Amino acid sequence: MQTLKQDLHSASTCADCSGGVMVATQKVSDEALVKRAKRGDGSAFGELMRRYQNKIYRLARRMTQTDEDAEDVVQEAFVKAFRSLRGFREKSRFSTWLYRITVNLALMKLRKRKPEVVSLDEPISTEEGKMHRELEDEATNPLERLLERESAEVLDAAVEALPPAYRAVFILRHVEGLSTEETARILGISVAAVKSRLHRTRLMLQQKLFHYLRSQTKRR
Amino acid sequence: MRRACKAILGSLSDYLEGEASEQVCNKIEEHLKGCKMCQMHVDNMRLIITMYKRWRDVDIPRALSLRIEQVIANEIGRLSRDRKAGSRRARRRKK
Repeated sequence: MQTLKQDLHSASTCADCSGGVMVATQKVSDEALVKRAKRGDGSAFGELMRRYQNKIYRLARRMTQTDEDAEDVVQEAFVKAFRSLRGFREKSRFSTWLYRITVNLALMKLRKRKPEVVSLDEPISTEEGKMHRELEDEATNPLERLLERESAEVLDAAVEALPPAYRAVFILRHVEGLSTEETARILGISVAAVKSRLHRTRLMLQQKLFHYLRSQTKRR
Repeated sequence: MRRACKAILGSLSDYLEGEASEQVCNKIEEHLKGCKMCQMHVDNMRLIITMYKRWRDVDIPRALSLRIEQVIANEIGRLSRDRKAGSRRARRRKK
């Protein structure tokens, strides 16, 4: 087992252990690593894992919105990628294929959850007990003030309230910065469907945030 | 929603990500100059995307990374054992 672990955690591909050697291995393309990994080279798969583990973790965390589910999804995604690698026909990029596995696992995780009602109007817990979020006077751009004050928690709730298929489109296209075409390939839908979902997502997000803003203004 | 607003919506994602062509950018910006609603929509989306990108922009926890490495090492071990067993079976069949 030690040999296998050493193989996977090869010093020639590990940033923590290798120092300058990493510079040389950075030039190895994903495609070359995939070919080596398919032939049973554990260190090549280890390098692919290291290249994508942060991106995959962030994607899973944003999709599932909990640390526990994100950790499950990331682990399952890499195991599934490893087991299915021989069947990966390399028609798309490795990253697209890995993103697709991750998004599908995250969507499955979300489907298993009991339907949750996420409300932006829920009071927040403070040391002095529960209190409602308040808005300041003289808001020149109410949304900007809201996000500055309460930072991303309100935004997180708005994204969490999106239907999973819409959340996936928003995260892949706007947060991960993937192209419309790549987002379509990952989700297995048409480019037109991505554009249409993005438009609806933008409207839903703004609607939810403004609804929250209005409800706070009425409370005052 | 006005027809002119609808016409720019399809390209808005590319515009927000800075990937729209110069021609499309000019068309959208020309529209935004005269449409407060669309300008607000674009400003708000820029804000939402910027804020959300910062949120949870964390690296994978070290413990999780090590755990996955161990799981994959176990997978490699299992695969290697399966291959060996497969070739032993094949040799026996030949005999």
